[in-house]
Amino acid sequence: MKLLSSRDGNLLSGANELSLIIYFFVLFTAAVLFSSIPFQLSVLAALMICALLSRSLRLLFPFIKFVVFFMAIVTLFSIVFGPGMGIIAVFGPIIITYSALYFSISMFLRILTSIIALNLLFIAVNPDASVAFFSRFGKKTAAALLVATRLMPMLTSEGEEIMQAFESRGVSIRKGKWRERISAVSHMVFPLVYSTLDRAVYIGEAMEVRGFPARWKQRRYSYSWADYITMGQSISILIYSIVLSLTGPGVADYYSSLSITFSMQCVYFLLLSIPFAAAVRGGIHASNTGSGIQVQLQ
Amino acid sequence: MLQIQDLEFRYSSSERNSLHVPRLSIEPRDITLICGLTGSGKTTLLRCINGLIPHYYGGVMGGHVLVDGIDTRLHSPGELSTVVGTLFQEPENQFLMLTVREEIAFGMRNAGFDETDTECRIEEIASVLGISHLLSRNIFELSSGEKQKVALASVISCGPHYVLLDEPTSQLDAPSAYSVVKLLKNLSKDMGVIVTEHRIERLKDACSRFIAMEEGSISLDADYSSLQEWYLNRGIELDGHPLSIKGEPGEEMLSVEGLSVNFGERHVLNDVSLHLREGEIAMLVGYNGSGKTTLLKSIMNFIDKEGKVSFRGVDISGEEPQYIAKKIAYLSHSPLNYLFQPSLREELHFTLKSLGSDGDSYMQDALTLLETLGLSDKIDMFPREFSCGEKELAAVASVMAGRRECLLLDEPTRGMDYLRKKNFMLKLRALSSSGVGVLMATHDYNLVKDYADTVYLLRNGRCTELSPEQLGREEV
Repeated sequence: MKLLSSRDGNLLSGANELSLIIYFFVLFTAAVLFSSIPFQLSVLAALMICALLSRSLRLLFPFIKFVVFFMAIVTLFSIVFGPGMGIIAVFGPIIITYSALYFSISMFLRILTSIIALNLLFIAVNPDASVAFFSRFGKKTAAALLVATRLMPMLTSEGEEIMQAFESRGVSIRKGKWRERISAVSHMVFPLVYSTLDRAVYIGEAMEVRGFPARWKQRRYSYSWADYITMGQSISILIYSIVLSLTGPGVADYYSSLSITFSMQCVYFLLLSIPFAAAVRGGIHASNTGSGIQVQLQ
Repeated sequence: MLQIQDLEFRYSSSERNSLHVPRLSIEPRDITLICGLTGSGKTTLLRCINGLIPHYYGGVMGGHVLVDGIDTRLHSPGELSTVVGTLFQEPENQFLMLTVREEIAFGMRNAGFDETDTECRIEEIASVLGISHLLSRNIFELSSGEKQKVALASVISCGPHYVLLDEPTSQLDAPSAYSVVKLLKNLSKDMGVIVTEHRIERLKDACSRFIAMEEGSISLDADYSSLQEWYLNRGIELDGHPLSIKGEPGEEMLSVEGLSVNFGERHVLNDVSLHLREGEIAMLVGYNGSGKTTLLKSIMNFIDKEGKVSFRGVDISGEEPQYIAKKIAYLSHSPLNYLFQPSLREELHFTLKSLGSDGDSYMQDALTLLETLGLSDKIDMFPREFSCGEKELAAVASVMAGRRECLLLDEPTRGMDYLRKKNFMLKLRALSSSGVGVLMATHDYNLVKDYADTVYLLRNGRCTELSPEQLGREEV
């Protein structure tokens, strides 16, 4: 039951957990706020660089390939049937316009980048640190995140086990006719639901007997000057992005030169911060492996 | 001291009491073993002590449980967590964090320890349990024995006065179990240790007090010799072995030659060969992580492998699992994954339909199989509500329907008491007598001695054939 996480021995593992969380959150916000296609592409590039540095591409790919597949279909429909101005081509009753094309591509990139940013938040950052960070917003948030982060890997491995159980009874799940496979998968729902409920009870038991959330107390992080710079940089960009979005360039502006200038400046700044954080920390584990407090054994 | 007075408990879904304990006291700094058949109330008693009953499970509770004077009725499990620590049967179910360090710290953070104390305790406990080198590791990448130690460390980190352990050695190989028992002995110098366990032979030397439960009540509270007598009266000889029941194997049916499996750079199986004959029960033994499950799964082609697997002389190495399933049945260690239909009859129908063998003659054979496994009278019942041993047998029936001749089992007797284990093995022997070849992974030395026709020992990725007599207890 292994939680999908790529934390150790990569170029991002030296960076502080909190600065990475803030960094990915900023990228997520940027992906959601702006419509500009070049800007979205730049955010996507930044995310891909992060995925490469954290060796998360292999974990990320199986998930995003489904997103890309379904979003590509939706985008195609939107381009073909979406209303708009500036005719590109006419095929009988179908009119393809510039505005429909830009809108559809922008939406595709916006959804893709925001999903990748959120995924990296849990793949490239230690989930324990993510839970600890978000649980600052309340015990209920912490409880929900704890259950979710435990259940996800359990369900993944349980799903695999159940699939093998079905195959060992002669059921075609991975290969064969689509209709048969869909029918087989529909049968898998019941054991998976039973199993999930059982697991949820176990997790609840474990949380109860270990005193959660009686006096839930956060771990203390130790930060270096590089962390402060990275976090400060990310937060500044977040504020800058929101201001840009509110003042005009980010709103429904898919291909404007003004927005490109501003947006690209933001992204270059973000891109620069990745190698900066990794290079400065040089792969040294600090706050993510302990508080750094010296311990005297008796 | 732990004191129980007039304790009675009934689950809200049940019509009769699950527990009735008029009086019980357990001293700290002692190891007490609670044993008994499955369903005798051992786990319910532990839940009453750690406060999960009544605060988490509800139900109707009478009487009192006092842990060092704290009434569990009036204090939640969270409040009791600094006084009573609980280790569940499967450590993976109780892990809440990803790294070992954070997992050990979890309870202390909840108890309000400050950061310096938390770090000191983590280092101290890790040093005592010998897991200092694991502190920065991902929990889910550890071996079973290491996981058990980490779970124990996280339980004792808050310094409880009592530790409750629910079958702590059931999933461990002999060396890991020995190391856990040794740890318990050390712990008992500072705290009371209460253990429930079916594998009594592993704990008998460490425990000073033995409590046997039956139908929710304490049937015996004495020393080991009295416990032996108690079990003997129920037809179980704790230290001896019943008459070995061996089969008479026929022609070879399954052949594995030069099988190798690598996970990344790790060589799990290296040039493994084994042979299974008709009517034979072959047992696969080896330490946790030696590759037993991997071998069974690679025979079914669930994982990539190199080498040749043949069934009755036909190479099936490249076949899809659902086609191999027409010849070979595989049952993982989770029988519940195989049981989801409203009745056993429908489970059989499901398998026969999936295999394309849903004619009347196949169903008739499946009914004969149920008779062999002693489940005929339960054919229209919901299999998930069967007892522990019956669930395993129902899962065997559901994978064996369709005239399959070979059965691969992954630790099927895990968590079964002596009687259920014996019953299960007798049914399995009856099945093998009809010509079915069985290859079974296990950690249970007594099962190997009593029922195995052939033993395969997996060690360092290699497989060696031994006779059951050649196998030492420490190797299982």
